[in-house]
Amino acid sequence: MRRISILSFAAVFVLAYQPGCHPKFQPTSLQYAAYDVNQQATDSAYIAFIKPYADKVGETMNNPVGELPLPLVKALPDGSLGNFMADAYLAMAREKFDPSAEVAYMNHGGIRLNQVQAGTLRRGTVYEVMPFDNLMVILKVKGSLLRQFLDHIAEEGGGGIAGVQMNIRDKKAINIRIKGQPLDTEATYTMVNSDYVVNGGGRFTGFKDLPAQKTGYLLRDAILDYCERYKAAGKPIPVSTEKRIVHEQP
Amino acid sequence: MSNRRTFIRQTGLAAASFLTAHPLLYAGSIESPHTTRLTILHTNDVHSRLEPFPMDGGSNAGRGGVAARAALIRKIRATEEHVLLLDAGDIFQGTPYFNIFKGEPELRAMQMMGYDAAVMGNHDFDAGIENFADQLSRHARFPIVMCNYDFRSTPMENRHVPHMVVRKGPLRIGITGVGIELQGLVPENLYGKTVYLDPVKAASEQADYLKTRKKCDMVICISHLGDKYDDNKVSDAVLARESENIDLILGGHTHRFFDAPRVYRNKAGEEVIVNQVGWAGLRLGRLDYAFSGAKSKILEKNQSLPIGKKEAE
Repeated sequence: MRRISILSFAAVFVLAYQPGCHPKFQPTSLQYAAYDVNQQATDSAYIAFIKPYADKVGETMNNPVGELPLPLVKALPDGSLGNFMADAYLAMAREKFDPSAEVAYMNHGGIRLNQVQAGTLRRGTVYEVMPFDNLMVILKVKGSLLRQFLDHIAEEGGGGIAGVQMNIRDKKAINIRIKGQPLDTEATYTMVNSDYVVNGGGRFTGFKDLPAQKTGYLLRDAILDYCERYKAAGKPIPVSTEKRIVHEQP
Repeated sequence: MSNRRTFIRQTGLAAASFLTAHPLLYAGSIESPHTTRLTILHTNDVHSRLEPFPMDGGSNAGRGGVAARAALIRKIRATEEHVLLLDAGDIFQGTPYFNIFKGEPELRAMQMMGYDAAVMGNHDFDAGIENFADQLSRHARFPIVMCNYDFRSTPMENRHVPHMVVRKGPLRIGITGVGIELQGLVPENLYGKTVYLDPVKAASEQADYLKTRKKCDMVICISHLGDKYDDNKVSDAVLARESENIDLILGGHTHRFFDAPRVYRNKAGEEVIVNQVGWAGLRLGRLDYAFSGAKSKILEKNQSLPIGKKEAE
């Protein structure tokens, strides 16, 4: 009986082994870990390596650009961080290029920090929020096209916006108000956007062939300049917590 | 005779059920001289985070940075003989370091840490494909592994490989890499003449070549596709299910912190492991594979690889 049992085990092995079959080795177990990279141990060679770069970065990037009374938060369907960025674009577009500008947009994916703490806002943090060299573009957009664009935002789940209030239902924009008034599909609106979005980044292609004012002005500089205006006036940076985009529960 | 056959079958089943019921015990029991261990360390979407996040009270304060990551890697290298260190792209963009130095310190730090390979993420195009190729040629000796970007007539033409084979002791590990669709994501002027190819098809071809021609024991695909999407956009999940011969996908792009590696079944019914470690160098992923020689080959194609969480050391 015992002999049979040994034979049967051998049979199992023979059945499992396929001669001539590559590869030669096979994974037989896997153990995983995800280490939190904290500062319990650091390699001094790397601190020395970074230092000349860090010193150069610090020369300009630690400069305060203003005071935030509240934290800024990246969120969907909208959040104070994205809306703050859109507010900055709208204000600077009006001041520098087109006083009739009434709508501004900041795509959610382009907001590169999840949160900014209240207190002193530093230049480097603005770079981290908006690291891209995206340029401000000003468009004259017919109401019907603007509605399509807002539908696109709704489909993406939201984004940073200024001058618009709307609800999202079934991935569509509804109850749209521009400066408090219902959207007029026949009217023409002046919109501030980024060259990235206008050129089809984010997969909305409706603006691609529209005549546009290419300002050559970095959106990051718009944020920095906006903050500087308040700093110069000795005022905190305005942070709006109003909900501009609301998800309607079905 | 029929009794004996039944007995053999039952014994076989008993053996199989023992193996599945006690996967870790089983895994431990074959840590024999015939077992070779491979430690795979990986990062993704580090986004120019050379320094830890500032101590500003935020949830990431004091986390990340190359000095801490390098210390972790060095500690692991001190105890493990066979280590692979891989990055799944978006090395660039996200802190002023990149705006000022265009990727030089990021690549130099990776070179110092001994990265074996990386894949190109969409943000690695952010200062232009010329810049990425130029920074690589000046600061990195590790290869960029990409099989689904046709880089002909671009500055990356001679700065990438479609696959590589790394020997670790007796093991032959094949590595390929895939990147995300660029149109609609990266401005055209930044990626130039790069042509995006179907990543499932391209990676499967490479994996087949690595397994059958190059006799690799394992094929890893480094990916910047993203882990999964609500629509049917191609992702690591899609790649895992629709490919063949890929054993492990190390992902990125979606900045997802996996609690544990995900397990999929590919076209042939074989397991594919997918992992991702968030972003910003906040975490270092580690996967320890035990390998056995074919003579002790026990796991059938459709069996499950015993997976366990590594005990804290």
